[in-house]
Amino acid sequence: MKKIILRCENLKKNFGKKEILKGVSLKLTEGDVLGFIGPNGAGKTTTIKLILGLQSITSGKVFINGYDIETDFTKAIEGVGTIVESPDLYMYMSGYENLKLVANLYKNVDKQRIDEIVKLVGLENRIKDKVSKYSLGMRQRLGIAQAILHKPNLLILDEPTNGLDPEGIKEVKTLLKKLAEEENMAILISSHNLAELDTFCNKICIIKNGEVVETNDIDTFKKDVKNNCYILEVEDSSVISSIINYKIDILTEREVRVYIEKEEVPLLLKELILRNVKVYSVSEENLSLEDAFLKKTGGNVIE
Amino acid sequence: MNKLVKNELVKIFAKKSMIVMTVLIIVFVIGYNILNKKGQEASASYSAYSNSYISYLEEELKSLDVNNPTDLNNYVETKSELDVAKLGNKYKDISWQSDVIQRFISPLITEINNYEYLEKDDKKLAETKKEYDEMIKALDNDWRYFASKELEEKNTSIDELNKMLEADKENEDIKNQLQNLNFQKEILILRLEKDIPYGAETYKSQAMQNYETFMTNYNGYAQEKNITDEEKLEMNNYLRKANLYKYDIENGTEYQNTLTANYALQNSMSTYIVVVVLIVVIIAGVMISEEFNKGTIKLLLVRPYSRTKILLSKLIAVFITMIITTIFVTLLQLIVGGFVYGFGTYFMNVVQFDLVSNSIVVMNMFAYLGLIFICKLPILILIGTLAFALSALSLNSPLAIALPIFGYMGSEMINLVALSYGWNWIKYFVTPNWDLSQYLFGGSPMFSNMSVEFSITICAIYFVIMLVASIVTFNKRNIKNV
Repeated sequence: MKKIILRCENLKKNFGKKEILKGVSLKLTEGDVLGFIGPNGAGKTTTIKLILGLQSITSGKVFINGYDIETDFTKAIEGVGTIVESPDLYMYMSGYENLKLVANLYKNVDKQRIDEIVKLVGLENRIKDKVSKYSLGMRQRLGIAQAILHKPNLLILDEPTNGLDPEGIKEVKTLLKKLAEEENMAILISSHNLAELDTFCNKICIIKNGEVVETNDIDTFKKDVKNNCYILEVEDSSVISSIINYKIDILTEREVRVYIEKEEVPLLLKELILRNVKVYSVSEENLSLEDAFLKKTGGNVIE
Repeated sequence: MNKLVKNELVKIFAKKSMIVMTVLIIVFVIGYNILNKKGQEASASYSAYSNSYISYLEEELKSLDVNNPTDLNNYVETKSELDVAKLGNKYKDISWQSDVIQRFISPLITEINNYEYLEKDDKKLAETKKEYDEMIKALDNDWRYFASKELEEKNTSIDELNKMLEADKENEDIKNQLQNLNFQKEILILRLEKDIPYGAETYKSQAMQNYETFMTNYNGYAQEKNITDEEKLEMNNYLRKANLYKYDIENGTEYQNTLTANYALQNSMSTYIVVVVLIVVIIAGVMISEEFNKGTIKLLLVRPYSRTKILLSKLIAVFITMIITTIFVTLLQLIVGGFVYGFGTYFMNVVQFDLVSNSIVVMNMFAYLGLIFICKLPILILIGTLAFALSALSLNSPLAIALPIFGYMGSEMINLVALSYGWNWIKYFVTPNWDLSQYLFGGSPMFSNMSVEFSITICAIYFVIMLVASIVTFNKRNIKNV
């Protein structure tokens, strides 16, 4: 049996009379990478803040490594590394000084460990510079460095790819993958973009309006919500509708979205070729969270 | 916990504003010393009566008619003033001549003019004029002439009063007058014995002048039967200062000379406490609010320390910064004072007068500075904690900085108003209690029914209230979503 790292039981949070969280339950075991997904305002950050003890819990329980976050805060939080919202660092200090501040607060972090982590996140050339001179991607990496410095077994990251360019997103993903494998951490990572996470999450939890609508292994989830959307690049999109009987959206002059089962794709292509339509490419449309939601829940309304 | 404190200190001292503040302190200390010296030197070069004042008096005199009876009194007054001004014009304000003119020649001139225009008594006029000419001659010669003359006069007056007292033994007025005269005689003997001229040209003369003034003021209060708390404070202050100057005169020392590095260093705590308060408030006022506003508090709250410990570590860091600032300012004064006034003026000890034992106390300079710092500590701690608590409660840095500074600036005012209206209940407020130096050397507190223990208790109560309020709020505060 794998060890349970994080357990949330029926977490509820009210702001005044408004219910922000209506009973969120989560479970993370060793080696899990959980994608925590929901649109803005769904309650992702609030859930994370309740887990970290940054906000008071209205009802429900959080256990980290078996310790209750409310009654055993220091023991529970000891094994956690985190970035909440954005990596808010001390801008007027250097990256190294920022890490030193964190290192001072734990017993097991020495100078060697700092150097090791700096190398791991790839900041060794800029670590003596002031954080205010860093790019957003570098700050994010420094944020991850301060989160993993004390070898936590649970890493909680709130939208770590927010505001990063594709290059930066790729870097962060590679880094996290490495961490999950090398340091054997359980990772909880929140995002509003499903496509971003599916490459390395093994579990997924979708939250909507303060409620969990889906918790599952990522493969099961993917099978569950089939996309059935394909983008066709053709010479002239306007003639397509008169030729085929499937439901379509004309996107541009050359692009068409066709709603079709995977098995029927060859048939469609065959028919188009027979009618002398020039097809340049066919691609499966990426499953965005929005679409997943539309399929799964019929839209999200922020209350 | 000390690791938290260490981190907080690192954060405070890594800020660029610390460099700015250090530079400002250095500029302030240098500027204060130089301006103080230059200011006193400048005032020493003034002439007692300016030319413009003389021409003004001349104009005034022209407009008055000697033969008009309604103008006559006014004419005599103005003429006397003009004669004194013309005589005094060529002497500096601080010279012994100026002082002598004020003390002896000025009344004589009034007398001459009175005899000449009002009473028209030629015989008395001639007599007085002769006396006047003699004095003018002595004016370019020797101050001792005036001193011995004054001594003669005092002796005659004392003899007269003694005779009167014999006739009326219970007369308090005569007793008081006699006491004053005896004191003035004592001063004169001291002046002649120590060879200290009138005026304020040298420190010794100043000391003599100040001793005379403060002691006269003290005697004035001491002869009254019912005095208020406010008057008692003033009276003790006069007695203390008078005795300190007396000590310098008798021993030939210069402890009370404001133009020495020793004096400036001795008073550095009261001079620069406003600087220390400012720095402490600026640091304490942003301590919590800035971390919340910039979001960095999240970095701190997810560490394995309780929120109470985090809050206390921040407060302790503020106090450590306060001590560092005080030491820095004091050392700076030690160096700058040496350069401005000369290192030779360091005696490295301090003279104080103890009102209870009625004697002079000589202390080591650093022991004295340490003692004063401990006495002023409640001010710094309470103002710093106020800024800190406001920062934690409101998360509004400008408010947390502005309010304590206004509070500190207004505290003197509050005390003065309370004292003059006799609001005894104000003793339960912090401002009358937080300066423990009022109890030093037998000093009496603002209200006579206060004691050191009472003051410390009151300060402690306010401190605990602010601390508990901050801890409770800080522990309950939710980190809002951005």
